Amino acid sequence: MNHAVELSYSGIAAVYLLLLPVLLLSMRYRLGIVRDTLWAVARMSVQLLLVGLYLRYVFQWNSLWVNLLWVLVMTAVAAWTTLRQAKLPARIMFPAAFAALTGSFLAVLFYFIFLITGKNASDAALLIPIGGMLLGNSLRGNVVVLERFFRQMRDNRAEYELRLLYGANRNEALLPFMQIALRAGISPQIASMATLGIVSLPGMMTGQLLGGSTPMTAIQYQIAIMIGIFAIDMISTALLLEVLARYAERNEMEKGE
Amino acid sequence: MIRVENLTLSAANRILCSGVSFELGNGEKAVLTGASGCGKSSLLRAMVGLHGIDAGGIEIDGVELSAATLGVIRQRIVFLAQEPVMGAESVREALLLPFTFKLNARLSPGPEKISETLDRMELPETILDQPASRLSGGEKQRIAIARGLLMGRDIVFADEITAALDGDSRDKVIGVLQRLPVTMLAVAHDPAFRNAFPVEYRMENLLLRKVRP
Repeated sequence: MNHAVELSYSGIAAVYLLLLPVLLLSMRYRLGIVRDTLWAVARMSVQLLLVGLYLRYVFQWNSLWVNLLWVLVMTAVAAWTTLRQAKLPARIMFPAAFAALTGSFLAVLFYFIFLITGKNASDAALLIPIGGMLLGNSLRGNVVVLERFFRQMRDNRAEYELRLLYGANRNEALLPFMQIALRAGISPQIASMATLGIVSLPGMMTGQLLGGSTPMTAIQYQIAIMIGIFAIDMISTALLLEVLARYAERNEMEKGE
Repeated sequence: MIRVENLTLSAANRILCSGVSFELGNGEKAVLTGASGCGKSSLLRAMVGLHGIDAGGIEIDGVELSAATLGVIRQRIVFLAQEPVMGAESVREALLLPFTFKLNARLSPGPEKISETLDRMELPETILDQPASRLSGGEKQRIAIARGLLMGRDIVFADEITAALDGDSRDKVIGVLQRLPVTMLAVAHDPAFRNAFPVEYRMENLLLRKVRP
């Protein structure tokens, strides 16, 4: 049982035909999304084709340095997107966010590759999909945490100031705001772990089954990746908060000197 | 003794006041009046290091306010905002919030000190176990004052603290402040509050001048 289920050309063409009822329905209900849909489908297809071509070479080279470069590109895009989606000044905060994300990502990714799978970090066929899953799945959590933290600091400024005026140090003053933000980010992950396998069959498992792995191998990887995502989610959000919090502090007197 | 000398403050590139000087002796209680948006609140905030100073200086008992002395100076001052901030679920937690910080951990007050302080605020001890969100505005203000007193702070800066209160709660808060042996500077529009204290400064055309006594 070790053969991937491949799609034929006619199969791929049939996939695009599935868009027809979607377009017809959206015209019938006048949703005004035909153009957006076509544009999104086209973008997705081209982007994925390019990645497919690119990955073919990356897999051929199987070089640690090329993999590292790929990781840096991934975290740079993730840091930028996270800041933009959290409606934060991306230009100002990018260096700190990029550093925090890269640090936590590399730590968890290499831990994962070396100690869990026991493979080598130059193994692109392992590093890139696992890296993508880890980072991609922590993206939403990062956006939620940052957005919530900065909103809390803005809306409850007086509480933050009260804590400072009563002698709280930096960490003590920020604590309740960080707690609210981190809880908001991690709770959905806990909930989704608890329902996994019953409510939905996760993407990685589906992919492995289609790729010809046995159900047990697929499940082992799925458990590993779930815990990996959970870990990187918490580590990266905490690190992001630590390096970005200073942008919300702005304590006039302390800033000057 | 609070001494403010030649103070200039600005916000968003607009000068709020300039050349502001005044002194407040220990135990003296003054109100600060003036049109809204003229910089009264910013003056109070500057005095606890929450607003930057463009020029001049602020001195409390001979200690000049700066980044280095900010911590020491803040330990003297109770800052009361119009919207009282409790910062915790229950009234007891709100009252003891400062003692959860490392700096104050050893200062934690005993039960007698707490009940004595509540007594001075004319608040019943049963209030301690209530959720902070259920208190009236006036009760919240008095808890906020009690919190500062438990910390042994002896200077009160108040920013329109009775503006949102009904007559009865307002009078209670005013009564408590009149009886306390503290130095006080309070921004106020409310005539009842103004007339309850002997000294008044008015901020007008960027300047501060004494209008009473």
